[in-house]
Amino acid sequence: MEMSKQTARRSTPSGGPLATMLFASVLDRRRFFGTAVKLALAPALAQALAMGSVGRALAQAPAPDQTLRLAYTNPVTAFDTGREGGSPELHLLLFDGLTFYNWETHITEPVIATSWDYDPTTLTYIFHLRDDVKWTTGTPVTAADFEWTWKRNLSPELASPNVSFLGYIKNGVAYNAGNAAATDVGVTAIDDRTLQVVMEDPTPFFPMITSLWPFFPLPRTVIESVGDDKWMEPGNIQSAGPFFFETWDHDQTMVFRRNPNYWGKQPTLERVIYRLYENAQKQALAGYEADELDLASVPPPEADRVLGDSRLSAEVVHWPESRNWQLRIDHRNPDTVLKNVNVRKALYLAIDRDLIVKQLLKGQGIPSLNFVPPDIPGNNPAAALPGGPAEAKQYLETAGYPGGKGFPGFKLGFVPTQAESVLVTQAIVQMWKDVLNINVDLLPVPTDWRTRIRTEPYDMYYGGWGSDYLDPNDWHNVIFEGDYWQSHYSDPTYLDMIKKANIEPDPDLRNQKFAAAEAYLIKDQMVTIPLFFGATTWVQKPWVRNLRIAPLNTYIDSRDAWIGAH
Amino acid sequence: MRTYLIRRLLTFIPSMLVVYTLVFGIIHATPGNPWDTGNKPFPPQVLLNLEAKYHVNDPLWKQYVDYLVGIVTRFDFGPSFKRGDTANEVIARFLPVSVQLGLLAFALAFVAGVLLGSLSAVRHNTWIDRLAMFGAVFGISTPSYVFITVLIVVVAIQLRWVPTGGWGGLFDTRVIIPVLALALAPTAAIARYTRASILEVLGMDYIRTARAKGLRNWVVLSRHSLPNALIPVVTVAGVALADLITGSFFVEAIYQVPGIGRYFVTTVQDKDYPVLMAVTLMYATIIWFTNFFVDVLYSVLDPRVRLT
Amino acid sequence: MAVSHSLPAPIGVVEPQAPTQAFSRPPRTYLREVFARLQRNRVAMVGIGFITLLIVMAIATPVIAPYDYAQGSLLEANRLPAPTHWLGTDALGRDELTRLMWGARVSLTVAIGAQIIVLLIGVTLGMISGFFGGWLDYLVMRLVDALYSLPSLLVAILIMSFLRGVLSLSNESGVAGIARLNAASGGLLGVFIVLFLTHWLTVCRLVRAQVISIKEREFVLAARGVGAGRPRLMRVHLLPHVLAPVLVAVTFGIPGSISLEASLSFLGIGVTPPMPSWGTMIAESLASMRTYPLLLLCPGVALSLTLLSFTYVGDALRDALDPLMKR
Repeated sequence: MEMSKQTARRSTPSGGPLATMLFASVLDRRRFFGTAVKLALAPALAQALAMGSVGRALAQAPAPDQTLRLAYTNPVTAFDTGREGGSPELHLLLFDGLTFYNWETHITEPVIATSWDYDPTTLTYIFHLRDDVKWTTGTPVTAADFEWTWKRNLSPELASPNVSFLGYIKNGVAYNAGNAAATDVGVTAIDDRTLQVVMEDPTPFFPMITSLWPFFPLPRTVIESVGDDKWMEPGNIQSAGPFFFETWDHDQTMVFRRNPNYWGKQPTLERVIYRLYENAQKQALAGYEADELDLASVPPPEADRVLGDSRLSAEVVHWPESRNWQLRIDHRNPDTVLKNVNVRKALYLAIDRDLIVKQLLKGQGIPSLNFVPPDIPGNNPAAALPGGPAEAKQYLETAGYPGGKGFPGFKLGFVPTQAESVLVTQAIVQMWKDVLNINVDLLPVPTDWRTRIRTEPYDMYYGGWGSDYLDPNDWHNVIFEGDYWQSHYSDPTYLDMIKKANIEPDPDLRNQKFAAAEAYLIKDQMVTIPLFFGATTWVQKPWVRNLRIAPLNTYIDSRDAWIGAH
Repeated sequence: MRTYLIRRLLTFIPSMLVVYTLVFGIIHATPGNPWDTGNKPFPPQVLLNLEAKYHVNDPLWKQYVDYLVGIVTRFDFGPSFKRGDTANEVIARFLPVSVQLGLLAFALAFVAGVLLGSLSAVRHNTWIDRLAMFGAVFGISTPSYVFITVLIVVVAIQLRWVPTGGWGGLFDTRVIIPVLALALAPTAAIARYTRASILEVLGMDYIRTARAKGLRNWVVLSRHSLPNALIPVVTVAGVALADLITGSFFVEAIYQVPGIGRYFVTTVQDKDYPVLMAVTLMYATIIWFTNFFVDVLYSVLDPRVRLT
Repeated sequence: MAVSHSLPAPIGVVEPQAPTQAFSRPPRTYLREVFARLQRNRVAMVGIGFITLLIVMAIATPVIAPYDYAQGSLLEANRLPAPTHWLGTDALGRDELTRLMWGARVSLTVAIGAQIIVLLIGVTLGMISGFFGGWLDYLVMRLVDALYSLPSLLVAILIMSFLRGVLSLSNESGVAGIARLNAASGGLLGVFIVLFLTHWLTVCRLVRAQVISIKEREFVLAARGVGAGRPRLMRVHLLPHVLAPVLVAVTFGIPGSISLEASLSFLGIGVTPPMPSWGTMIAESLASMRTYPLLLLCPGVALSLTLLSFTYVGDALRDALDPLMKR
């Protein structure tokens, strides 16, 4: 199940011209490796890096049939990049963006845009585009396509949930709210190869954002003739990426075929066949074991068997996820027992994360004691509150409930269809009972509960948040300034810290400021209770080569993959 | 008879109206909206736009009437809130699969059930009878989701006789597991009813007469008892047919069959109300008509029964 | 077929006992007849025995269960049967036997409880509808017909979704009270409501059909002629004839209810964790079926045996109550 999120593009100003432009490139690579060294103890991360190099070392002749068979959870919404909020996996096969954000090197690579200039005084970006990108009909992709697509995705009629990504553009939000006209939106195609974008606020990381799928150019002629609902059908669709959409057997399979007219590097794969499931994460393993799929995720209940099987265990691969699972708390609720910071700290310390990761998640997770995942620059493991069960009991006593006496209890909400939430929340509640002697009720909630808690008070709920791009802004500012967790946390100290950190021009200082903010958030105030960082386990057929799984939104990148002889 | 038919048929409209009203009522009494689901935070403006687009904020009575008019005049159930198709397209695309699968499962269940029941009745109180009936009750008692999972593991994964999922039409090997899973409970029910019915018929005087006349056992069974015995079985078979045609959520979800049965649960969870309404009314219609035909058929077959 | 030597006594009439006849049978009431016939069916007796055992165990569970159903240590997860845990432990380290017993309690409570309500409301409504006839009957029957055409799983899911939505977050006093009750019972209240709403139709229809067929019979006319009022008519004269098929329907309704509850819990919209139900236990263990098959077998076999028993008992009860059906 996909668990991506929207990001709030409100005011994230930044000064410093050149430094900020390079912000997402060279300097971050240094920061990334520094963090990696600090986390040399994170096995999943290290293993993933090792896997990559081992895989590349094995050279083997390509098989004659270059077909990759994957599983995908049936896209309930039509996979319109404008309206789909989840995974870019399918979009990346069909479309390219202006840029591509390489999560391993932290570099925003030019794709359709060969270069870009930024004028901080006018908050304007100029993107220079390639001239050899073509739709499947042969017509060239021009800047006008980008302009049209971005305006279309912002239009109030479409009501796209991706507005927040596009909202960095001047008047984007206003247009979507109906307060401005389409012509007011700050994106203009100067000519076929030049795209001008005016920002609402200083946004130095905008090129990184343009690598996200709401910014992919869409075929205007098709959408205008057959409408928003039908343009993705294989008979209608036009795409400009490394693959084209060949067949869609609804609710059964989706077949993508190599695009012979692709301007870029031709993929070795001839076809990618996606088999559609109700819940691919849980069901694909059966197909894999029957040799119908080449890759499947290993759900934790089956992990023991897979790791114990001699054939399957040799096919296991691990990939890290830039994700953190937490217990989120309502800071606006005056009646909850959780408003006492000592109670929160007690709850945080009473959870044995290692045990849950080992026994329940079977290694598909890394215990997390701080807020931001290890692959984000500016993350601060020292933001963790030290202590264990003994200290937890002490905090509870300080809070006024020694030994759990008099504790009023609260409700922990969870969505039963979310991966492993049923077992994890029960285990956590049990641990609280054992260590702190308190009773917590479990509350299974429907998926739209998140809308209701915008206005209705609650206590706590279990959720996961994954990065869309690797920047602390995607965590601190997006979550708490935009209130995307409905935590309603309004502490001016913290909000001030993250606002100042975000506009800091010097990258090192910026990361330090974010680190300090994180320490305040967790160690000091325990605003949210982190549980585990993401790590996924898969089984992959030995003949599949060079398949990557991104830590962002956990999407499978098969563009460079190929099938070895077998 | 004709007056009965007409009178009964006339009750179809009010029955469907009741169903429509009830479902409409529950949908609108359930808090929440269809779009803000899962972990994706939703900008409030987008929600307002969507609500305007789908007329969710119109006064309730207006929505009730407009939607009803749309259904009755244009047979239009509206666009799906989640998929890119209209509700009609969703049904048109997936209902045939469920119907085909259901009919095949029904054929199997009916034949197997009648055979099993007959065998049991004829070998009344022997070990065959006891075993068969035990099997039948066990078949009713096993949840379909357990049975199909075991089937998939044994037949598809370990024996590799058939694929682990999907749909390829009626003559593809992928119908085998879902048909078996679907047919289990109806076979058991039909077997039990057939057995009871045959036993009752075998106790009748005219059977004793036939035997006394010297007719061979086989003739007695096939020509005199079985047709009469099958009449009450028609009711069970009708219920089973309606059940099977509408598809099973578990079988379709676990075996990735693109049928309409999955939409039972998914439309409620996704709050895809147009499709939910369309699916519910369609089910209600199918079941209503199946009940109707069964009653009529019963009266045609059994002249002692008079429909009032 | 041998001809029986003594005819069974007519209902309610007591035969005078001749003092010299050594081989005459003691007088039998209708009820004793039923019991006698029931006793002859050995499988049913086993079934009744099993059910009784199950009910006793379910009632005594809070006292006799070896562990707390929510208590478990992750270090003890997925253990095989041992002297400390007779059936092993589940994925969270909780004792499987305890959870099985509590699951029995949950399943039986909701199923039997729901059927009792079904009995009360279905019989009353069916009786009134059948007896008075007219427009009341017409309305009730139209409603029942309409509802009858809805598949029960769909209705169950719709209602559960509605209840969950309303009860998950509310501070208005009335609903909050129900919400707390629901939470305290582990989500059982919601399941209860759903089960009742999906099963009352059968009984209502059955009762109405019975009432209509008997209300013109001679003994009813006789009673009316003597001056019996309507309540007395319904209670004393019609009810006993109605009860027999209703009892059978209810007995068959119990496995249906248990199945529906298991299906709902399997889908995750039944009882609230950590309260165990056989359906939740099956759902939790289905994914790891190939690694830890015992965790699936326990609730699966328990469910099957219970449904089996109720079905056999229902069969036997039907045969015992109406001897004309089986000859």
